[in-house]
Amino acid sequence: MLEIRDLHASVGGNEILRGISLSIRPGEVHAIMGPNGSGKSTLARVLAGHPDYEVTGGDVTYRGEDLLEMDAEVRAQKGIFLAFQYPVEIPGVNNSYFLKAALNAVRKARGEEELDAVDFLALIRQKAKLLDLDTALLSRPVNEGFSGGEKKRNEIFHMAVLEPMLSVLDETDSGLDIDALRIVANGVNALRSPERASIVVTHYQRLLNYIVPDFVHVLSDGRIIRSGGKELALELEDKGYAWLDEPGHA
Amino acid sequence: MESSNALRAFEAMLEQAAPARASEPGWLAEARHAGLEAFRLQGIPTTGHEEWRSTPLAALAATAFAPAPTSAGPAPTAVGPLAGLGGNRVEIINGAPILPDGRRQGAGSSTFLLSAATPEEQAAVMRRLGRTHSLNSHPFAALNLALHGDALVIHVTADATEPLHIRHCALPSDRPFATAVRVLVVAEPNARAALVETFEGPAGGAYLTNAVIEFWLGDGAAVEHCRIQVEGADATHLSLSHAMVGRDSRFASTNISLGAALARYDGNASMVGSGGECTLNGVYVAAGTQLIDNHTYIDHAVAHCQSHELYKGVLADRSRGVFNGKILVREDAQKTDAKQTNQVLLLSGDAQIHTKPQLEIFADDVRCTHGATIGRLDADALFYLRARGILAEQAHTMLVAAFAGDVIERIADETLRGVVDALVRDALRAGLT
Ligand SMILES: Nc1ncnc2c1ncn2[C@@H]1O[C@H](COP(=O)(O)OP(=O)(O)OP(=O)(O)O)[C@@H](O)[C@H]1O
Ligand SMILES: [Mg+2]
Repeated sequence: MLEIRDLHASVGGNEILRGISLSIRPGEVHAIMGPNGSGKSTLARVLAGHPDYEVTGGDVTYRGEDLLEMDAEVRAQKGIFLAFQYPVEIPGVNNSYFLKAALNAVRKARGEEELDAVDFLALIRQKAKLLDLDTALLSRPVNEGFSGGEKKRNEIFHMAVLEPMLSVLDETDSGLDIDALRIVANGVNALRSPERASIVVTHYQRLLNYIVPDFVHVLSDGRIIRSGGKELALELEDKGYAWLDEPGHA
Repeated sequence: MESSNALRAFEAMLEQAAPARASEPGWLAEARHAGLEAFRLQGIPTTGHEEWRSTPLAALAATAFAPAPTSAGPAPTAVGPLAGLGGNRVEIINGAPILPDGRRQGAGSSTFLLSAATPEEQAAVMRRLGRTHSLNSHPFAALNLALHGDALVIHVTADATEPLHIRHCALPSDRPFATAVRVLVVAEPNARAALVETFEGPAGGAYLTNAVIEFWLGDGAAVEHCRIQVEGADATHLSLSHAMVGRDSRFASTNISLGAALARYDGNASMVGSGGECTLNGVYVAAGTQLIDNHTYIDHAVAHCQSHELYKGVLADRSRGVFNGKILVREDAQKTDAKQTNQVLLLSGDAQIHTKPQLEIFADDVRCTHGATIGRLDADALFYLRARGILAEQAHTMLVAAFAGDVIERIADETLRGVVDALVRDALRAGLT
């Protein structure tokens, strides 16, 4: 589904990603862990097509197409979804109005008909319920004044409505209380299917108890320094990242 | 005063109109004369004139305007969002108000032409027409007083619930022409009215709109005013509104400025009775080489009044915007609460804004705040929208519309709000592409 080969990327002239290779097949969940500043969000933004990040080497193929050739909105329309680590506040743009525009853009690209107001309302009510999202948040401006947890929940709500093929969740768990974590994880798991895949960026093993990954990768200084199964996350929780640098492990 | 094509044209128009005005009452002839004298004294301002520093009028001065063609036919039916405005309408075609029998009686108000006024009405008009502001403060308002045709008077006596739409309509012509329109709104104590003015014109062809509207609000009166300027692309629009806000009365005006090659608007209010409140809001959108100039002036003459101003501008391409917000708080105007905000979104590196707050405060116990921000579209917000699948162009429009929406959502009347929202979105789409 996603093939990343020797990806190098810079922002503002600084090379942040320094040769990342990663292969994701349909149905898989890959967790990405790693110290602060190692490049996890950078990878997520590069995959989503952020215009500030310059790809200086390597290539990325998504479902047989050159991902790096596509504009951000085209990637989204083709089923890539980024749940932001820091969701952006957009004053004056109503949350459900925005989501309707997004959904219809995605549906249009898929060759589906636009959803009318009634069907859309029914859909978002159902998804809001699934994520136990306060419906008041639907009529407020996108993320404006949302609490940290509400913002994260709203991201997953958007994901649930858009039903992406490949979701990239950037620290969606941070800032969530225990109950919210379970609800959000349920939302993510509800989308799990043999055709879809996810990349889950997290600092905590806790999330991976709910969203069980097939693979865990450790990113450090712009490179994947270690990959393993879900037990790697447990090991990291136990020992931190330092042991990976010890001779014989790196 | 140096002569110019425009000056000669204005003088010729006056001469041409003289026979028809011979029957006007003496006080009106005097007012017209005073207007003409004041205009001759001031002339067509150059950019050397402080109040017109950023508004070059050389092209206007060089134009030999013809008098507005009369009986040029009916106004075209409104299309697009404007078609959504209600049916209580008076049309002013090429500067001439169309009102069968010179009068219309509505619920809570009567609308009439000055030529059809009763003696009492005339006496009331005489005390007010051209008297909201000094004739020396604005050359074109002075010229307007000399030049305007039959004035349109709206006398609000009670609850005029249905909004009145004054449709200023310029018709296509093969020669540049000039109009001068004068409207007077008198709201009796505790009366209420809503008024929408639209300024429409042909897509191409030069013409000059010179429009002055004066409001007199009695104690406890409330007037909602919205002006929608969607003149043709080659038009020059010069207009002034001035409201006299009486005791405990409330004046709210929203100025939507989207059209014309050059548009200059002076939105003025005098707070002359304590407890008065006024709101002067505005949205302007300019693209290409358009120039939109908004000057506001609030004169706090007495104590315990409030004024609010929120202007939002969107400038694309090589367009220019001007916002000059003057607030005068006179010595007696203690406990004045005045707030002014001007926010501008520059969508291109070549667009320019000249913004200047001008606070003159002579009372000590007042609260006056002003703020101006000039920004660009938030790149993070843009990426967020695009990353959810929204096309870059649509994402732009959404963000800019949200910026302007802050003003539009304050328009009280729901139908009007919808019309304005759609017009602004159309203008943004056109300006952004
Ligand atoms: N726009 C930018 N300009 C300059 N430096 C940047 C920019 N974006 C990211 N960086 C730098 O790139 C490095 C990687 O940042 P990134 O956000 O990818 O880290 P991360 O692994 O997600 O960290 P965290 O766990 O703290 O979220 C950091 O040193 C960061 O300062
Ligand atoms: Mg990060």
